[in-house]
Amino acid sequence: MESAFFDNWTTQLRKGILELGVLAALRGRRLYGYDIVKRLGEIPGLVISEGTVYPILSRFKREGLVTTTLVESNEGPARKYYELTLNGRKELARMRAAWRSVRDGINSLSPEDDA
Amino acid sequence: MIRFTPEALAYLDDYLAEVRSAVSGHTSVNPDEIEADVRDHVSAALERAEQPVTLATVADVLERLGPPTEWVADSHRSIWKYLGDKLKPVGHKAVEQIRTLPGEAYQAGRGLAARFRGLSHDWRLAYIAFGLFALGMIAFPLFPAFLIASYFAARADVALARERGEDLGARRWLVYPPMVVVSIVLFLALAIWPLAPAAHAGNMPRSLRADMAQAIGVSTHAVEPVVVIYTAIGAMSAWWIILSLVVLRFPKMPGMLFPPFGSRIRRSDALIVLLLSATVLVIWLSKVDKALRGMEVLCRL
Repeated sequence: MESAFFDNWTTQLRKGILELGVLAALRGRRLYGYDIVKRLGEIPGLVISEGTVYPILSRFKREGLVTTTLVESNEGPARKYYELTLNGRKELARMRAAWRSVRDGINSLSPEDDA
Repeated sequence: MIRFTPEALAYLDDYLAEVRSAVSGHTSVNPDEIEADVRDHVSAALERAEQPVTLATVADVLERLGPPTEWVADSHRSIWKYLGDKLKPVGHKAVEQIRTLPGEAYQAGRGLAARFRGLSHDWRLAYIAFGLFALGMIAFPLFPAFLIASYFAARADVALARERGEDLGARRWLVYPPMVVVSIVLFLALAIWPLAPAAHAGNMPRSLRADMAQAIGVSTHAVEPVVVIYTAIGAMSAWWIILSLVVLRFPKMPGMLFPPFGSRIRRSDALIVLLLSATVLVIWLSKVDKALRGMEVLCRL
């Protein structure tokens, strides 16, 4: 029971944070899809299904938060690189601010020492 | 270029088909783009793998990618995709029911079921749409209910085809009948509803007919038809002016409301209707003095 509750809670938490993670991974650099997945995969527990990242990238592109460029590769076919647009950078800043605000708020309610 | 064993390639193809099926119909994403991204991902993940790549190696990469059905939230699903997904199990159940039939009917049903299973998802949806439409005609008292279900299935199929950038091709003969019937009914209801209240305008007490005839300058026998026709022309021209203005402002609306032919209604058509309706209304207004005299007669009631 406790485990099911925790699993559900982490799934919900991850869904929201993953979008922030994708934008944050692209901050100041351009990456191709596989690279984004691998970088996010280094954060423990964030990416359970790697494929989840691609619909997020597609949606961000449709919403004008990221743009893509095809770059020739020596190791195979041309790779599609993603980078943030101006709107994407603005959205990332807003999301980070919101994230910090929630994190600080939770910490102030329940300092980690008390847990 | 990565080389795969036949089993590995078949497994990858099945997975990519699953990806496409899972993400198509979602309003927020582009299925082609996601499929291409997943292909790139697999290529990058297998760059240094021993070749030909085996089933176990591909399965490992795809397992990490996870089940595509969990990639996109339901809230991003279009209503047509949602309805299509709901209707698919109904079709499958119908096929299963055929298996319970006896003798020759069973054999014929089995053949039909096998054919149905062999169809792609899009064709199944198209057959479900047409099947419901045909069932509605057989069980005629239930036709409206079957027609509505068939209409939703047909629109789901058309929406899927559009999202994938596919041509409906021969499938249109299966999905168009319910869409055409519903569109015609909706179009007529929307276009000519002012005639219904106008038809009642001629209902007046006999005692007023002579006065009315004198007021509007027609014979007593012609009073009712003239009043009805005059009211209908005024109401229809005013209503069509409103409709054409709406189409001019929202040109995609006819296509959404009256598929498959509504999309052929263009702004220029709306402009022509607007000009014609406005002309009729101006002529109608030139006779309004007589109408006002008629109204005075009615006010004595």
